[in-house]
Amino acid sequence: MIRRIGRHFREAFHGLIRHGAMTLSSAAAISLALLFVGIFILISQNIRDITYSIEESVQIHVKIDRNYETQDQINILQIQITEIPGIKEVIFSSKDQELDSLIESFGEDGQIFESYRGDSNPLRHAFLVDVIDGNLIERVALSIERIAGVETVRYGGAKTVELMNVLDSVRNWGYILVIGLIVIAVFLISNTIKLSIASRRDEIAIMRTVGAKNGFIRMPFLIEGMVIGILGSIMPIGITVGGYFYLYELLGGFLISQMFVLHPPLPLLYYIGTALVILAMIVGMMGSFVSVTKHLRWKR
Amino acid sequence: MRNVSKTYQNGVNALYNINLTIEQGEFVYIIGPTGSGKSTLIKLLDGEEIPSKGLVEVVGINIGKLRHSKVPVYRRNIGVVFQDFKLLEKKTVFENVYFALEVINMPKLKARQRVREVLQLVGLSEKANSYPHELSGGQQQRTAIARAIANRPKLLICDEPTGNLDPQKSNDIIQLLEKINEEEKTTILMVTHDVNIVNQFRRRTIALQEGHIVADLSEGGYIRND
Repeated sequence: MIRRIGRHFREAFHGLIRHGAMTLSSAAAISLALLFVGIFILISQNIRDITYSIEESVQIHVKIDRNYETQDQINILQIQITEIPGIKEVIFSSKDQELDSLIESFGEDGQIFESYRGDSNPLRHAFLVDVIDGNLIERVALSIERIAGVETVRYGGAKTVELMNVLDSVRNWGYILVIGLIVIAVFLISNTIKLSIASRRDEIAIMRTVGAKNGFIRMPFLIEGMVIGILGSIMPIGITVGGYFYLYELLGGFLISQMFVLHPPLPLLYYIGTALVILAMIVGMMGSFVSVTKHLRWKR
Repeated sequence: MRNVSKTYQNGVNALYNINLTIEQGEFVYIIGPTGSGKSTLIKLLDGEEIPSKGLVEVVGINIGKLRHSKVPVYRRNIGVVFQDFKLLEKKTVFENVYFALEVINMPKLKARQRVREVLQLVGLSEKANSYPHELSGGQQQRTAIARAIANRPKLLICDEPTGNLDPQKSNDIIQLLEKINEEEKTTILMVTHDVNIVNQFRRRTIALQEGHIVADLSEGGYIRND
Protein backbone atom coordinates (compact mmCIF):
# COMPACT_ATOMS: atom_id res chain seq x y z
CA MET A 1 0.00 0.00 0.00
CA ILE A 2 2.70 2.49 1.02
CA ARG A 3 4.76 1.43 -1.95
CA ARG A 4 1.90 2.11 -4.29
CA ILE A 5 0.92 5.50 -2.91
CA GLY A 6 3.50 7.09 -5.17
CA ARG A 7 1.86 5.45 -8.13
CA HIS A 8 -1.56 6.74 -7.09
CA PHE A 9 -0.25 10.29 -6.81
CA ARG A 10 1.41 10.02 -10.21
CA GLU A 11 -1.82 8.80 -11.78
CA ALA A 12 -3.79 11.54 -10.00
CA PHE A 13 -1.56 14.30 -11.34
CA HIS A 14 -1.68 12.87 -14.83
CA GLY A 15 -5.45 12.94 -14.56
CA LEU A 16 -5.50 16.51 -13.30
CA ILE A 17 -3.36 17.72 -16.16
CA ARG A 18 -5.12 15.63 -18.79
CA HIS A 19 -8.46 17.08 -17.73
CA GLY A 20 -7.24 20.61 -17.06
CA ALA A 21 -10.51 22.36 -17.85
CA MET A 22 -12.43 20.01 -15.58
CA THR A 23 -9.89 20.59 -12.82
CA LEU A 24 -10.32 24.34 -13.08
CA SER A 25 -14.09 24.36 -13.17
CA SER A 26 -14.37 22.02 -10.19
CA ALA A 27 -11.86 24.11 -8.28
CA ALA A 28 -13.90 27.21 -9.13
CA ALA A 29 -17.05 25.60 -7.79
CA ILE A 30 -15.30 24.81 -4.52
CA SER A 31 -13.79 28.29 -4.41
CA LEU A 32 -17.13 29.99 -4.65
CA ALA A 33 -18.76 27.87 -1.97
CA LEU A 34 -15.82 28.22 0.38
CA LEU A 35 -15.65 31.96 -0.09
CA PHE A 36 -19.15 32.21 1.32
CA VAL A 37 -18.26 29.80 4.09
CA GLY A 38 -15.22 31.88 5.03
CA ILE A 39 -17.11 35.16 5.01
CA PHE A 40 -19.90 33.60 7.00
CA ILE A 41 -17.54 32.29 9.67
CA LEU A 42 -16.08 35.80 10.05
CA ILE A 43 -19.51 37.41 10.29
CA SER A 44 -20.77 34.77 12.66
CA GLN A 45 -17.77 35.13 14.92
CA ASN A 46 -18.24 38.89 15.11
CA ILE A 47 -21.95 38.59 15.74
CA ARG A 48 -21.18 36.29 18.61
CA ASP A 49 -18.72 38.77 20.05
CA ILE A 50 -21.13 41.68 19.72
CA THR A 51 -24.06 39.78 21.19
CA TYR A 52 -21.85 38.76 24.05
CA SER A 53 -20.72 42.29 24.78
CA ILE A 54 -24.29 43.59 24.56
CA GLU A 55 -25.47 40.89 26.92
CA GLU A 56 -22.71 41.84 29.29
CA SER A 57 -23.78 45.46 29.33
CA VAL A 58 -27.52 44.90 29.66
CA GLN A 59 -28.71 45.21 33.24
CA ILE A 60 -32.12 45.44 34.89
CA HIS A 61 -32.59 48.35 37.27
CA VAL A 62 -35.17 47.68 39.98
CA LYS A 63 -36.40 50.54 42.16
CA ILE A 64 -37.74 49.61 45.58
CA ASP A 65 -40.99 51.08 46.86
CA ARG A 66 -40.74 53.63 49.72
CA ASN A 67 -42.82 51.37 51.98
CA TYR A 68 -40.37 48.49 51.75
CA GLU A 69 -37.20 50.16 52.99
CA THR A 70 -36.41 48.21 56.16
CA GLN A 71 -33.43 45.87 56.03
CA ASP A 72 -35.65 42.80 56.47
CA GLN A 73 -37.93 43.78 53.62
CA ILE A 74 -34.96 44.46 51.40
CA ASN A 75 -33.48 41.04 52.19
CA ILE A 76 -36.77 39.33 51.39
CA LEU A 77 -37.03 41.22 48.10
CA GLN A 78 -33.49 40.23 47.18
CA ILE A 79 -34.23 36.57 47.81
CA GLN A 80 -37.46 36.77 45.82
CA ILE A 81 -35.66 38.25 42.82
CA THR A 82 -32.77 35.80 43.03
CA GLU A 83 -35.22 32.92 42.88
CA ILE A 84 -36.47 33.92 39.41
CA PRO A 85 -34.95 31.55 36.80
CA GLY A 86 -32.31 33.08 34.51
CA ILE A 87 -30.84 35.45 37.10
CA LYS A 88 -27.07 35.67 37.22
CA GLU A 89 -26.50 38.22 39.93
CA VAL A 90 -28.50 40.63 42.11
CA ILE A 91 -26.63 43.57 43.61
CA PHE A 92 -28.17 45.95 46.13
CA SER A 93 -27.56 49.60 45.55
CA SER A 94 -28.54 52.01 48.38
CA LYS A 95 -29.91 55.51 47.91
CA ASP A 96 -26.42 56.91 48.46
CA GLN A 97 -24.90 54.63 45.88
CA GLU A 98 -27.66 55.51 43.46
CA LEU A 99 -26.90 59.15 43.95
CA ASP A 100 -23.21 58.47 43.38
CA SER A 101 -23.88 56.81 40.04
CA LEU A 102 -26.30 59.59 39.09
CA ILE A 103 -23.68 62.22 39.84
CA GLU A 104 -21.10 60.19 37.95
CA SER A 105 -23.29 59.89 34.89
CA PHE A 106 -23.63 63.68 34.67
CA GLY A 107 -19.88 64.16 34.93
CA GLU A 108 -18.75 67.68 35.81
CA ASP A 109 -22.28 69.02 36.15
CA GLY A 110 -23.26 66.21 38.49
CA GLN A 111 -21.97 68.10 41.51
CA ILE A 112 -25.23 70.08 41.78
CA PHE A 113 -26.97 66.87 42.93
CA GLU A 114 -24.70 66.68 46.01
CA SER A 115 -27.21 68.81 47.89
CA TYR A 116 -29.68 65.91 47.87
CA ARG A 117 -27.37 63.69 49.91
CA GLY A 118 -28.75 62.61 53.27
CA ASP A 119 -32.37 62.38 54.35
CA SER A 120 -33.65 64.57 51.57
CA ASN A 121 -32.43 62.05 48.97
CA PRO A 122 -35.43 61.59 46.64
CA LEU A 123 -33.98 58.47 45.05
CA ARG A 124 -35.00 54.93 45.92
CA HIS A 125 -32.98 51.96 47.03
CA ALA A 126 -32.43 49.70 44.05
CA PHE A 127 -31.26 46.30 42.81
CA LEU A 128 -28.98 45.89 39.81
CA VAL A 129 -29.93 42.57 38.19
CA ASP A 130 -27.81 40.68 35.65
CA VAL A 131 -29.37 37.89 33.61
CA ILE A 132 -27.66 34.82 32.20
CA ASP A 133 -28.88 35.34 28.64
CA GLY A 134 -29.88 38.59 27.01
CA ASN A 135 -32.93 36.94 25.52
CA LEU A 136 -34.38 36.37 28.97
CA ILE A 137 -34.24 40.00 29.95
CA GLU A 138 -37.81 40.87 29.03
CA ARG A 139 -39.35 37.90 30.83
CA VAL A 140 -37.22 38.41 33.92
CA ALA A 141 -38.15 42.10 34.05
CA LEU A 142 -41.84 41.24 33.93
CA SER A 143 -41.47 38.72 36.73
CA ILE A 144 -39.69 41.24 38.92
CA GLU A 145 -42.38 43.83 38.27
CA ARG A 146 -45.00 41.53 39.79
CA ILE A 147 -43.17 41.25 43.12
CA ALA A 148 -44.77 43.33 45.88
CA GLY A 149 -42.47 46.14 46.96
CA VAL A 150 -41.04 46.77 43.54
CA GLU A 151 -41.78 50.24 42.32
CA THR A 152 -40.41 50.31 38.78
CA VAL A 153 -38.32 48.05 36.56
CA ARG A 154 -36.16 49.47 33.82
CA TYR A 155 -33.71 47.83 31.45
CA GLY A 156 -31.47 48.68 28.49
CA GLY A 157 -34.47 48.99 26.25
CA ALA A 158 -36.47 46.79 23.96
CA LYS A 159 -34.38 47.94 21.01
CA THR A 160 -31.29 46.18 22.34
CA VAL A 161 -33.14 42.94 22.75
CA GLU A 162 -34.59 43.26 19.31
CA LEU A 163 -31.15 43.82 17.81
CA MET A 164 -29.88 40.74 19.57
CA ASN A 165 -32.73 38.67 18.19
CA VAL A 166 -32.05 39.91 14.67
CA LEU A 167 -28.37 39.05 14.96
CA ASP A 168 -29.26 35.61 16.26
CA SER A 169 -31.52 34.84 13.36
CA VAL A 170 -28.90 36.14 10.91
CA ARG A 171 -26.54 33.59 12.36
CA ASN A 172 -29.03 30.75 12.19
CA TRP A 173 -29.92 31.46 8.58
CA GLY A 174 -26.22 31.67 7.88
CA TYR A 175 -25.71 28.10 9.09
CA ILE A 176 -28.44 26.87 6.78
CA LEU A 177 -26.95 28.84 3.89
CA VAL A 178 -23.50 27.39 4.47
CA ILE A 179 -24.72 23.81 4.67
CA GLY A 180 -26.68 24.38 1.47
CA LEU A 181 -23.61 25.77 -0.25
CA ILE A 182 -21.49 22.80 0.73
CA VAL A 183 -24.08 20.39 -0.60
CA ILE A 184 -24.21 22.32 -3.87
CA ALA A 185 -20.42 22.29 -4.08
CA VAL A 186 -20.28 18.51 -3.63
CA PHE A 187 -22.92 18.15 -6.30
CA LEU A 188 -21.11 20.45 -8.74
CA ILE A 189 -17.83 18.70 -8.21
CA SER A 190 -19.19 15.21 -8.52
CA ASN A 191 -20.86 16.37 -11.70
CA THR A 192 -17.74 17.81 -13.30
CA ILE A 193 -15.63 14.89 -12.19
CA LYS A 194 -18.30 12.55 -13.47
CA LEU A 195 -17.88 14.00 -16.94
CA SER A 196 -14.19 13.25 -16.92
CA ILE A 197 -14.72 9.81 -15.47
CA ALA A 198 -17.44 8.97 -17.97
CA SER A 199 -14.82 9.14 -20.68
CA ARG A 200 -12.74 6.77 -18.60
CA ARG A 201 -15.50 4.27 -17.97
CA ASP A 202 -13.98 1.69 -20.31
CA GLU A 203 -10.67 2.26 -18.64
CA ILE A 204 -12.23 1.47 -15.27
CA ALA A 205 -13.90 -1.66 -16.65
CA ILE A 206 -10.59 -2.82 -18.13
CA MET A 207 -8.85 -2.24 -14.82
CA ARG A 208 -11.39 -4.46 -13.12
CA THR A 209 -10.97 -7.10 -15.80
CA VAL A 210 -7.25 -7.16 -15.18
CA GLY A 211 -7.82 -7.60 -11.47
CA ALA A 212 -7.62 -4.10 -9.99
CA LYS A 213 -9.60 -3.81 -6.77
CA ASN A 214 -12.10 -1.01 -6.41
CA GLY A 215 -9.94 0.78 -3.88
CA PHE A 216 -6.99 0.68 -6.23
CA ILE A 217 -9.02 2.21 -9.05
CA ARG A 218 -10.60 4.76 -6.76
CA MET A 219 -7.45 5.98 -5.09
CA PRO A 220 -6.06 8.24 -7.86
CA PHE A 221 -9.50 9.79 -8.32
CA LEU A 222 -9.76 10.54 -4.61
CA ILE A 223 -6.35 12.18 -4.68
CA GLU A 224 -7.48 14.14 -7.71
CA GLY A 225 -10.51 15.37 -5.78
CA MET A 226 -8.35 16.28 -2.83
CA VAL A 227 -5.94 18.28 -4.97
CA ILE A 228 -8.85 20.02 -6.67
CA GLY A 229 -10.10 20.92 -3.20
CA ILE A 230 -6.75 22.36 -2.20
CA LEU A 231 -6.56 24.36 -5.42
CA GLY A 232 -10.08 25.59 -4.83
CA SER A 233 -9.33 26.70 -1.29
CA ILE A 234 -6.48 29.05 -2.25
CA MET A 235 -8.69 31.84 -3.56
CA PRO A 236 -11.23 31.96 -0.71
CA ILE A 237 -8.50 31.74 1.92
CA GLY A 238 -6.66 34.60 0.25
CA ILE A 239 -9.78 36.73 0.10
CA THR A 240 -11.06 36.09 3.61
CA VAL A 241 -7.66 36.43 5.28
CA GLY A 242 -6.49 39.42 3.23
CA GLY A 243 -9.92 41.05 3.26
CA TYR A 244 -10.40 40.77 6.99
CA PHE A 245 -6.94 42.09 7.78
CA TYR A 246 -7.59 45.03 5.49
CA LEU A 247 -11.01 45.72 6.95
CA TYR A 248 -9.73 45.46 10.49
CA GLU A 249 -6.95 47.95 9.78
CA LEU A 250 -9.28 50.27 7.89
CA LEU A 251 -11.89 50.43 10.66
CA GLY A 252 -9.36 50.40 13.47
CA GLY A 253 -10.90 47.35 15.08
CA PHE A 254 -14.39 48.83 15.60
CA LEU A 255 -17.63 48.71 13.76
CA ILE A 256 -19.62 51.99 13.89
CA SER A 257 -19.04 52.63 17.60
CA GLN A 258 -16.90 51.42 20.47
CA MET A 259 -19.70 49.09 21.41
CA PHE A 260 -19.05 46.83 18.43
CA VAL A 261 -15.52 45.60 18.82
CA LEU A 262 -14.34 43.46 15.88
CA HIS A 263 -12.81 40.10 16.61
CA PRO A 264 -9.01 40.31 16.44
CA PRO A 265 -7.75 38.76 13.14
CA LEU A 266 -5.30 36.38 14.79
CA PRO A 267 -5.53 33.56 15.63
CA LEU A 268 -9.07 33.47 14.17
CA LEU A 269 -7.75 33.61 10.60
CA TYR A 270 -5.40 30.67 11.20
CA TYR A 271 -8.38 28.60 12.26
CA ILE A 272 -10.46 29.71 9.31
CA GLY A 273 -7.62 28.95 6.88
CA THR A 274 -7.14 25.46 8.25
CA ALA A 275 -10.86 24.80 8.35
CA LEU A 276 -11.29 25.90 4.76
CA VAL A 277 -8.46 23.70 3.45
CA ILE A 278 -9.74 20.65 5.29
CA LEU A 279 -13.31 21.33 4.23
CA ALA A 280 -12.20 21.76 0.61
CA MET A 281 -10.29 18.47 0.63
CA ILE A 282 -13.24 16.61 2.11
CA VAL A 283 -15.67 18.16 -0.34
CA GLY A 284 -13.37 17.34 -3.27
CA MET A 285 -12.90 13.76 -2.16
CA MET A 286 -16.60 13.25 -1.59
CA GLY A 287 -17.32 14.54 -5.06
CA SER A 288 -14.85 12.11 -6.62
CA PHE A 289 -15.96 9.23 -4.47
CA VAL A 290 -19.58 9.59 -5.51
CA SER A 291 -18.83 9.62 -9.21
CA VAL A 292 -16.18 6.89 -9.28
CA THR A 293 -18.39 4.56 -7.31
CA LYS A 294 -21.14 5.10 -9.83
CA HIS A 295 -18.84 4.08 -12.66
CA LEU A 296 -17.34 1.15 -10.81
CA ARG A 297 -20.83 -0.29 -10.73
CA TRP A 298 -21.25 0.12 -14.46
CA LYS A 299 -19.89 -3.35 -15.09
CA ARG A 300 -19.43 -6.14 -12.66
CA MET B 1 -9.68 -25.11 -13.38
CA ARG B 2 -11.44 -27.97 -11.75
CA ASN B 3 -14.98 -29.20 -11.68
CA VAL B 4 -16.75 -26.52 -13.60
CA SER B 5 -20.20 -27.85 -13.64
CA LYS B 6 -22.98 -25.42 -14.14
CA THR B 7 -26.66 -25.41 -14.61
CA TYR B 8 -28.18 -22.09 -15.32
CA GLN B 9 -30.82 -20.19 -17.04
CA ASN B 10 -30.32 -16.57 -17.82
CA GLY B 11 -32.94 -14.10 -18.89
CA VAL B 12 -34.22 -14.03 -22.46
CA ASN B 13 -31.55 -15.61 -24.61
CA ALA B 14 -30.39 -18.06 -22.08
CA LEU B 15 -28.19 -21.01 -21.53
CA TYR B 16 -30.23 -24.01 -20.55
CA ASN B 17 -28.93 -26.54 -18.10
CA ILE B 18 -25.34 -26.53 -19.18
CA ASN B 19 -23.13 -29.14 -17.58
CA LEU B 20 -19.49 -28.80 -18.40
CA THR B 21 -16.23 -29.78 -16.85
CA ILE B 22 -12.89 -28.62 -18.14
CA GLU B 23 -9.72 -30.04 -16.63
CA GLN B 24 -6.60 -28.07 -15.79
CA GLY B 25 -4.31 -27.81 -18.81
CA GLU B 26 -6.94 -28.44 -21.45
CA PHE B 27 -7.32 -26.44 -24.65
CA VAL B 28 -11.00 -26.13 -25.51
CA TYR B 29 -12.90 -24.44 -28.30
CA ILE B 30 -16.41 -23.24 -27.78
CA ILE B 31 -18.11 -22.84 -31.09
CA GLY B 32 -21.55 -21.79 -32.15
CA PRO B 33 -23.43 -19.23 -34.20
CA THR B 34 -24.26 -15.75 -32.98
CA GLY B 35 -26.79 -15.81 -30.18
CA SER B 36 -25.97 -19.37 -29.18
CA GLY B 37 -24.92 -18.28 -25.71
CA LYS B 38 -21.16 -18.17 -26.17
CA SER B 39 -20.79 -14.67 -24.79
CA THR B 40 -23.06 -15.42 -21.87
CA LEU B 41 -20.94 -18.41 -21.07
CA ILE B 42 -17.85 -16.23 -20.95
CA LYS B 43 -19.52 -13.53 -18.91
CA LEU B 44 -20.48 -16.15 -16.39
CA LEU B 45 -16.95 -17.42 -16.24
CA ASP B 46 -15.29 -14.04 -15.76
CA GLY B 47 -17.82 -12.88 -13.21
CA GLU B 48 -19.53 -10.23 -15.30
CA GLU B 49 -22.87 -12.02 -15.05
CA ILE B 50 -24.39 -14.08 -12.27
CA PRO B 51 -26.09 -17.37 -13.13
CA SER B 52 -29.80 -17.33 -12.41
CA LYS B 53 -29.63 -20.99 -11.54
CA GLY B 54 -26.89 -23.43 -10.87
CA LEU B 55 -23.26 -23.18 -9.98
CA VAL B 56 -20.27 -21.76 -11.79
CA GLU B 57 -17.04 -22.76 -10.18
CA VAL B 58 -13.54 -21.92 -11.37
CA VAL B 59 -10.41 -22.86 -9.43
CA GLY B 60 -12.65 -23.71 -6.50
CA ILE B 61 -14.32 -20.28 -6.39
CA ASN B 62 -18.08 -20.00 -6.70
CA ILE B 63 -18.32 -17.07 -9.08
CA GLY B 64 -22.04 -16.48 -8.78
CA LYS B 65 -21.63 -15.78 -5.08
CA LEU B 66 -18.84 -13.22 -5.43
CA ARG B 67 -19.44 -9.72 -4.14
CA HIS B 68 -18.88 -6.85 -6.55
CA SER B 69 -15.72 -5.81 -4.76
CA LYS B 70 -14.32 -9.34 -4.83
CA VAL B 71 -14.78 -9.88 -8.56
CA PRO B 72 -11.44 -8.25 -9.52
CA VAL B 73 -9.64 -10.38 -6.96
CA TYR B 74 -11.11 -13.51 -8.50
CA ARG B 75 -10.07 -12.29 -11.95
CA ARG B 76 -6.45 -12.49 -10.91
CA ASN B 77 -6.85 -16.23 -11.34
CA ILE B 78 -7.96 -15.94 -14.92
CA GLY B 79 -6.89 -14.05 -17.99
CA VAL B 80 -9.38 -12.70 -20.47
CA VAL B 81 -8.73 -11.76 -24.09
CA PHE B 82 -11.43 -9.91 -25.98
CA GLN B 83 -12.27 -9.51 -29.61
CA ASP B 84 -11.76 -5.75 -29.33
CA PHE B 85 -8.52 -6.10 -27.31
CA LYS B 86 -9.55 -3.68 -24.52
CA LEU B 87 -6.13 -2.14 -24.08
CA LEU B 88 -5.53 1.06 -22.15
CA GLU B 89 -5.02 3.53 -24.98
CA LYS B 90 -2.90 5.95 -22.99
CA LYS B 91 -0.38 3.36 -21.93
CA THR B 92 2.36 1.74 -23.96
CA VAL B 93 2.48 -1.98 -24.65
CA PHE B 94 4.91 -2.41 -21.80
CA GLU B 95 2.76 -0.36 -19.40
CA ASN B 96 -0.38 -2.22 -20.39
CA VAL B 97 1.14 -5.52 -19.44
CA TYR B 98 2.89 -4.02 -16.43
CA PHE B 99 -0.41 -2.67 -15.14
CA ALA B 100 -1.80 -6.18 -14.67
CA LEU B 101 1.12 -6.97 -12.39
CA GLU B 102 1.14 -3.63 -10.60
CA VAL B 103 -2.44 -4.28 -9.66
CA ILE B 104 -1.60 -7.53 -7.88
CA ASN B 105 1.17 -5.79 -6.00
CA MET B 106 4.09 -7.62 -7.57
CA PRO B 107 7.48 -6.06 -6.68
CA LYS B 108 8.74 -3.69 -9.36
CA LEU B 109 11.81 -5.58 -10.52
CA LYS B 110 10.05 -8.89 -10.65
CA ALA B 111 7.16 -7.34 -12.53
CA ARG B 112 9.41 -5.68 -15.10
CA GLN B 113 11.19 -8.94 -15.67
CA ARG B 114 7.93 -10.79 -16.10
CA VAL B 115 6.68 -8.19 -18.60
CA ARG B 116 9.79 -8.66 -20.71
CA GLU B 117 9.32 -12.41 -20.46
CA VAL B 118 5.74 -12.42 -21.73
CA LEU B 119 6.46 -9.84 -24.42
CA GLN B 120 9.19 -12.17 -25.60
CA LEU B 121 6.75 -15.05 -25.54
CA VAL B 122 4.21 -13.22 -27.70
CA GLY B 123 6.98 -11.82 -29.90
CA LEU B 124 6.48 -8.12 -29.18
CA SER B 125 9.72 -7.27 -27.42
CA GLU B 126 10.67 -4.65 -29.95
CA LYS B 127 7.24 -2.94 -29.73
CA ALA B 128 7.33 -2.49 -25.95
CA ASN B 129 7.29 1.31 -26.10
CA SER B 130 4.62 1.69 -28.76
CA TYR B 131 1.08 2.80 -27.99
CA PRO B 132 -1.83 0.54 -28.95
CA HIS B 133 -2.96 2.77 -31.82
CA GLU B 134 0.46 2.44 -33.41
CA LEU B 135 0.09 -1.32 -33.66
CA SER B 136 -1.66 -3.63 -36.08
CA GLY B 137 -4.67 -5.62 -34.91
CA GLY B 138 -2.62 -8.76 -34.56
CA GLN B 139 -0.03 -6.97 -32.49
CA GLN B 140 -2.69 -5.44 -30.29
CA GLN B 141 -4.23 -8.83 -29.73
CA ARG B 142 -0.85 -10.26 -28.81
CA THR B 143 -0.41 -7.42 -26.32
CA ALA B 144 -3.76 -8.30 -24.82
CA ILE B 145 -2.72 -11.94 -24.58
CA ALA B 146 0.55 -10.95 -22.95
CA ARG B 147 -1.39 -8.90 -20.42
CA ALA B 148 -3.81 -11.76 -19.78
CA ILE B 149 -1.10 -14.31 -19.07
CA ALA B 150 1.35 -12.03 -17.26
CA ASN B 151 0.29 -13.06 -13.77
CA ARG B 152 0.28 -16.76 -14.71
CA PRO B 153 -3.45 -17.37 -14.58
CA LYS B 154 -4.69 -20.93 -14.40
CA LEU B 155 -7.30 -20.21 -17.03
CA LEU B 156 -7.17 -18.08 -20.13
CA ILE B 157 -10.51 -17.15 -21.65
CA CYS B 158 -10.40 -15.90 -25.22
CA ASP B 159 -13.55 -14.28 -26.56
CA GLU B 160 -13.30 -14.37 -30.37
CA PRO B 161 -9.63 -13.40 -30.26
CA THR B 162 -9.39 -13.72 -34.03
CA GLY B 163 -12.67 -11.98 -34.78
CA ASN B 164 -11.01 -8.82 -36.07
CA LEU B 165 -8.03 -10.42 -37.75
CA ASP B 166 -7.30 -11.81 -41.20
CA PRO B 167 -6.73 -15.62 -41.56
CA GLN B 168 -2.92 -15.42 -41.49
CA LYS B 169 -2.91 -13.32 -38.33
CA SER B 170 -5.53 -15.60 -36.83
CA ASN B 171 -3.33 -18.63 -37.36
CA ASP B 172 -0.46 -16.83 -35.66
CA ILE B 173 -2.66 -16.11 -32.67
CA ILE B 174 -3.81 -19.72 -32.38
CA GLN B 175 -0.25 -20.95 -32.61
CA LEU B 176 0.65 -18.50 -29.87
CA LEU B 177 -2.19 -19.78 -27.69
CA GLU B 178 -1.07 -23.37 -28.22
CA LYS B 179 2.43 -22.36 -27.23
CA ILE B 180 1.09 -20.76 -24.05
CA ASN B 181 -0.97 -23.86 -23.35
CA GLU B 182 2.17 -25.99 -23.56
CA GLU B 183 4.76 -23.72 -21.99
CA GLU B 184 2.74 -22.16 -19.19
CA LYS B 185 0.35 -25.09 -18.66
CA THR B 186 -2.52 -22.64 -18.83
CA THR B 187 -6.00 -23.96 -19.46
CA ILE B 188 -7.32 -22.25 -22.56
CA LEU B 189 -10.95 -21.71 -23.35
CA MET B 190 -11.42 -20.14 -26.73
CA VAL B 191 -14.73 -18.95 -28.07
CA THR B 192 -14.96 -18.62 -31.81
CA HIS B 193 -17.29 -18.98 -34.70
CA ASP B 194 -14.44 -19.55 -37.14
CA VAL B 195 -14.90 -23.14 -38.31
CA ASN B 196 -11.65 -23.08 -40.27
CA ILE B 197 -9.60 -22.61 -37.15
CA VAL B 198 -11.40 -25.36 -35.34
CA ASN B 199 -10.76 -27.73 -38.20
CA GLN B 200 -7.17 -26.74 -38.70
CA PHE B 201 -6.04 -26.87 -35.07
CA ARG B 202 -7.96 -29.80 -33.71
CA ARG B 203 -8.75 -29.70 -30.04
CA ARG B 204 -11.63 -30.58 -27.80
CA THR B 205 -14.57 -28.69 -29.25
CA ILE B 206 -17.82 -27.83 -27.56
CA ALA B 207 -20.64 -26.67 -29.79
CA LEU B 208 -23.38 -24.43 -28.46
CA GLN B 209 -26.68 -23.79 -30.12
CA GLU B 210 -29.56 -21.76 -28.74
CA GLY B 211 -28.29 -22.22 -25.26
CA HIS B 212 -27.71 -25.94 -25.39
CA ILE B 213 -24.56 -27.97 -25.79
CA VAL B 214 -25.16 -29.85 -29.02
CA ALA B 215 -21.77 -31.53 -29.26
CA ASP B 216 -18.67 -32.09 -27.17
CA LEU B 217 -16.00 -33.74 -29.29
CA SER B 218 -12.72 -34.47 -27.60
CA GLU B 219 -11.16 -35.17 -31.00
CA GLY B 220 -12.25 -31.84 -32.37
CA GLY B 221 -12.87 -31.32 -36.03
CA TYR B 222 -15.83 -30.89 -38.29
CA ILE B 223 -18.77 -29.12 -36.88
CA ARG B 224 -21.71 -28.76 -39.12
CA ASN B 225 -22.45 -25.07 -39.37
CA ASP B 226 -26.07 -24.37 -40.15
